[in-house]
Amino acid sequence: MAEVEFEQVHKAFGGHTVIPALDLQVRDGELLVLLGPSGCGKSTLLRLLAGLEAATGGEIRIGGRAVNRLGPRERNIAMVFQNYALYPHKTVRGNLEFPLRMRGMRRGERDRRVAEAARALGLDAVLDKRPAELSGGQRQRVAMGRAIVREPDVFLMDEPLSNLDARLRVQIRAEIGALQRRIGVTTLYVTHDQVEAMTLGDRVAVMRDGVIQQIGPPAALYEHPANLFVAGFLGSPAMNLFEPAFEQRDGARWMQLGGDWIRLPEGVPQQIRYAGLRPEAFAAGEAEGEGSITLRGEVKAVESLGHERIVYLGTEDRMVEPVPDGIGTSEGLLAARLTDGPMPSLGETMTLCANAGNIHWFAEDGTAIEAVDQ
Amino acid sequence: MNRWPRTRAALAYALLLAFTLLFVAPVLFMLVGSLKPDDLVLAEAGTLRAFFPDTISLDNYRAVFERVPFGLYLASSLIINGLIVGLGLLVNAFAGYALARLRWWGREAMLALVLAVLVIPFEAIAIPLFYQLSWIGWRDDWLVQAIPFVANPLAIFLFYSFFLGLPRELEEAARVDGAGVLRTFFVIVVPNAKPAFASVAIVLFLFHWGMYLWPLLMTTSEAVRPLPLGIANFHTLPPLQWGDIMAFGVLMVLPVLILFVVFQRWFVRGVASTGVKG
Repeated sequence: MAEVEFEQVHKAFGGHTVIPALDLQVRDGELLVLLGPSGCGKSTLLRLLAGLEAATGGEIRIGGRAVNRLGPRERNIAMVFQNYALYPHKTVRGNLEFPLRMRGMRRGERDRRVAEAARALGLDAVLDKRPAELSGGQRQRVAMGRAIVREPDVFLMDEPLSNLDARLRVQIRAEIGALQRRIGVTTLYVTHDQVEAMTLGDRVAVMRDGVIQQIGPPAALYEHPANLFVAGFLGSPAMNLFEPAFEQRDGARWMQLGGDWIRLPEGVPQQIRYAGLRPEAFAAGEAEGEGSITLRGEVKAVESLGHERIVYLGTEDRMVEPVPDGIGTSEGLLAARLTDGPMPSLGETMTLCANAGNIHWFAEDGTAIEAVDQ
Repeated sequence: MNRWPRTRAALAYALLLAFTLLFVAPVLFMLVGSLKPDDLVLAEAGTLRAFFPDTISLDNYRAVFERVPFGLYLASSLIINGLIVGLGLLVNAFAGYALARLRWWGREAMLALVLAVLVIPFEAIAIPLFYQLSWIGWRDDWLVQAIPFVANPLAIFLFYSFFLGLPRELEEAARVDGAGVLRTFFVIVVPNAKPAFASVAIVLFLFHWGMYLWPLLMTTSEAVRPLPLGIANFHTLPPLQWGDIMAFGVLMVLPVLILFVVFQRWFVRGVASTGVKG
């Protein structure tokens, strides 16, 4: 077990910089999820730590020891690949004991560890089969097993669930979480799936263009996104982001949302440009009281999930979404997650209300601005 | 209604059969000719009897062994080709792997060079090579007939393209698991590249089994001469016995057939992709 540190780590392929200058600390025993869209550099970061790619600058430390100049085998890390990378010509047993053989471990100890891992992962019955004879879930477990037999300092997992069907994914996700907690090995887990990130991670680092946008416990990221990108990336459907008109009159600041001018509370800072509301911040019906806002729009689509429904409204408000180079206009549909009220029909005009206290504020450059309570 | 596709299939089969006969006929002629008395080989050459013997005798085979040192030729051929195939598999696989997977200065240029050499016929370099080796006094042994052919651009290219298609993650997993480059190559790459090794073995063997020009240039002693020189020599030995020559021919083709049958199953086997999904 060990702490992992990246200090000013830089990576370029040819002239193309993938990671500009990255600092990151992963605590001992922690499961840190690297989350981001494809091409954001999260897998590269993992490969840098594994020693499969060489950093072009900066320092990487595992357990306080600089590993930049060490090959993969001297780093004592284990990796689970997206496509499992099981050795096709070896049996499950052969796959599990390969890393132990490479370390010159004696047979008795090898057998003991393989048996232990097989028991922990329910692979006893398939030890003499080859990967081609296994189901997707079993292959995934063998890949996990090959990583844990080593008792490494750090686990690296590169989208380990992306080849499984939805049902199995949920099951194995829970197994990975339980396993990691039980053995307590520092783990870096790469995914583009926010549900995996939110459910598995002790902390989540959201990445974009090789830069960590925000790092923290999943709930903190969801509730207090540091910028428009994080706000837009976490949550499904994504946060509704508005670009309302603002006005200063009668000694107060007013914002136009849903056709109405709303007087902003005292604590809302001056430099705000964008306002965000999560889909679950809405309720059906007219707003009541000072701190509420009302929005109206035509129902364009309804997704019923049984216990809730997601309603998409076309409103008059100007809406935006974070795009790779900044902020772009969205398709203009407002998403609301509703749990009660009558089932809306397509084309009808619907009224929604939200508490203004639930609005997330963002400045021109996309960074979040916390409203100060007066 | 279904008649047209059936007719087409029948036509296709007829065409295939015709071509098969065209290719099989000389081999069959040789086999049958080797089994009948010498005077009948040419006498029946223009008739159907050329393909269906009425008497079978192994006299011609016996004659081959009595008239020339066939065993010596065969041993030379097996040693030379064994060296070419054995060393060739190792050297060309290393070269193909280095080109496909390792990063080193000049890799692209080397790959281009290998491809360029692919189109140069051996006859074009035979004489310069002959002078070069004669100058250092290396002639008239088995090694000089094998070593110049160990590195083969076609074999390198075959390995190179096969290794490119192997999932890179297998090797990366092995490296993370603690294997070095050589260990990864022998323990992970080679077992998953059996089809490539089988193809290259057959290609190298076929190329060099019938090699004539180079042994003719480089050898003078009977003891190191391979089968093609043997059959040429046999042809000039009076009396001219066509039945014996046919028998010699059959004996010469046999090892190639055996090799093909042995390696055939790896030919058809798919590429190792079972452990990797996606």
